[in-house]
Amino acid sequence: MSDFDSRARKAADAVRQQIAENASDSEKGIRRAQRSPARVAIPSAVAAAVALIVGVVVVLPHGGGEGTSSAGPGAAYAVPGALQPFDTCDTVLQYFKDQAPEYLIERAGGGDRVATDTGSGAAEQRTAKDSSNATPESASTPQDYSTTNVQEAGVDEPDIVKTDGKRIVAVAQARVHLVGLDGGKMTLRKTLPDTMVRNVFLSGDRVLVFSGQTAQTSEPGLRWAGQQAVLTMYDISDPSDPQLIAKLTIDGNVLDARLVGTQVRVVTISSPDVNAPAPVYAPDGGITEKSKEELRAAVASTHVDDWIPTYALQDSAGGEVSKGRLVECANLAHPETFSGLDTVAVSAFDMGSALQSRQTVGLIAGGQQIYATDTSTYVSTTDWTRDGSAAKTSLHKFVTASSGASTYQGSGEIPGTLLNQYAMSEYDGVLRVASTVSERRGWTNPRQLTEGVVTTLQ
Amino acid sequence: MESQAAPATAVEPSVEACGESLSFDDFYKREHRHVLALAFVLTGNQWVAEDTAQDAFTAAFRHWHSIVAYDSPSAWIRRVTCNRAASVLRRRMREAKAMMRLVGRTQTYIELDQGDEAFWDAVRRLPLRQAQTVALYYMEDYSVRQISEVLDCSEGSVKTHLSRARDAVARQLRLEDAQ
Repeated sequence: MSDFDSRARKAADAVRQQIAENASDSEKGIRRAQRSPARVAIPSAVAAAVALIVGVVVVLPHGGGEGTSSAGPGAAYAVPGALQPFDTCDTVLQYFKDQAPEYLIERAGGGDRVATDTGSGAAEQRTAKDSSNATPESASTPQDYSTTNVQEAGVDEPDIVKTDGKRIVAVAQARVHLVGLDGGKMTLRKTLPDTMVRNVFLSGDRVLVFSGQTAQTSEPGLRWAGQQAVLTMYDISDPSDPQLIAKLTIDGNVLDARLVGTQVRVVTISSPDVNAPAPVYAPDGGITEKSKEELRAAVASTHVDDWIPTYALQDSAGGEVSKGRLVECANLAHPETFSGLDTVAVSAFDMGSALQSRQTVGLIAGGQQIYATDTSTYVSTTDWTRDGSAAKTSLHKFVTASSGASTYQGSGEIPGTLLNQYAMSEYDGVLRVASTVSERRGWTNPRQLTEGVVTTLQ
Repeated sequence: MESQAAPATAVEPSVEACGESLSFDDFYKREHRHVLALAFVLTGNQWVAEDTAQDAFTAAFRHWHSIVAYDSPSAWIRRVTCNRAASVLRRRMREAKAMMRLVGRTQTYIELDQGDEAFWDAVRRLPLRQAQTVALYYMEDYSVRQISEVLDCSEGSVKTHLSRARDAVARQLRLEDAQ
């Protein structure tokens, strides 16, 4: 054996031994993995106020005949019921206090992962000022440039490259580059200061940049506050001298966005965190009664702003315009059956504005895909059941009026999972959804029984 | 080159058990130490390693339904762990998070002596693929074929990575077989 080999094996053994000696310490992590952020594994019975379901039409069954039964414990389809709005912040807080402790404990809860993100619940001010700087209309001359391929005509989707024939806005290496087109010659005019950029919208002379950042904590060394989505609006009338219009920071991540006319709809998802001590595990693998009590106490002492995501809006000079709760308590709703602690919010802005939102609505549930038409926004939640049995998907519908105010319409549940946003299509007020229902036949046989299902919801 | 004096945590056969569905719990119990060890030698930080392992298992849990149907969930979790340990951005975030968790927790349970620490340190300075190959080969006692599965490359490349890694580490540590 070479010198290297013996050295390597000794070093590997040392690591193994250290870990083995503390196995119990590390093994308790099983609970941690299962606890997972609420978004990851919403407990089986994902809600679904099926108020919207009018008829379920199953077409195209092919594949095996064993169906998709075998719903695991708690995986039963939710009983139809209406969505539950909250009227006051007290009821919102009560909902979290009622639901969170057992949920967190069940997810083998508590502890570091459930660490903390308290929004500074400052004054909320969300005025829908009429923007004085109206968005310039896009050139109405015959269009001879290409655009983002979109799912619905007239509903634009964010992209890494946008052009209006006069200039190109391109995202490369997570930065936004403004490229001028002068007589067929491309020149890089400016690179915007934003980093970690995902994609952009271009409308008239306005560019809306979607990026992210790790939240700054007010108490360094004490809290890790999580992810924030950043929306930055620029005026690029002169691509060499882009003007910052406004910057909006929202707790969480942007799930997706759509642009209809000059109206942008943004769907964000935010996970709350509870500041509880790390759980202690009993010999049986569960967390101890003491830890459960600590967790319950931590939840009991929360404030409503510990749960509701916050936003902060800055003007062109970086001054704070407003900040506070992203969603007013009165605009929050929850499905009749508890389905997680995340807040999925739909906000709308005008591209001509300084990112003031008229009315943001939120749903306490998880979200995965979004599909939007000119007026509706659908958010899907897929629930992977823990025992590998058939998955189900919930759909939540929001309607955004031309004024920019969004309202929550309701939810429905369908069997199976959605491949992507293209699995949804609305026609004449009816949503058609194509889902895939799979069932394994024992894990030694990876072949799955798969069938396609089309469900219509109204 | 056979695995010698395997301690209590010797790698269990990666041949998946037969019969009915492997439960996530069993998978976790079986693999967690290995994944943690792998993450540890690749990141060099116990807390970051814990979070990396945690993330990998969370991802597995999330899609357990489909992962359990793969030929080898074990290879899958190792691949995810290698990738996640390699992502600088994720790593930074995890470090930030780990810092938070350190508050109130002072005890580290993975403490290597200087020589072993220096060895893994040298491994971490290798190009990514080489480091992953060494970690899988020595930490996990994985065969060249198994490594090629995890890293999704040819057996030839695995051998190349191994041999280059040996040379580089040996040179750095001034081992006798350095060339």
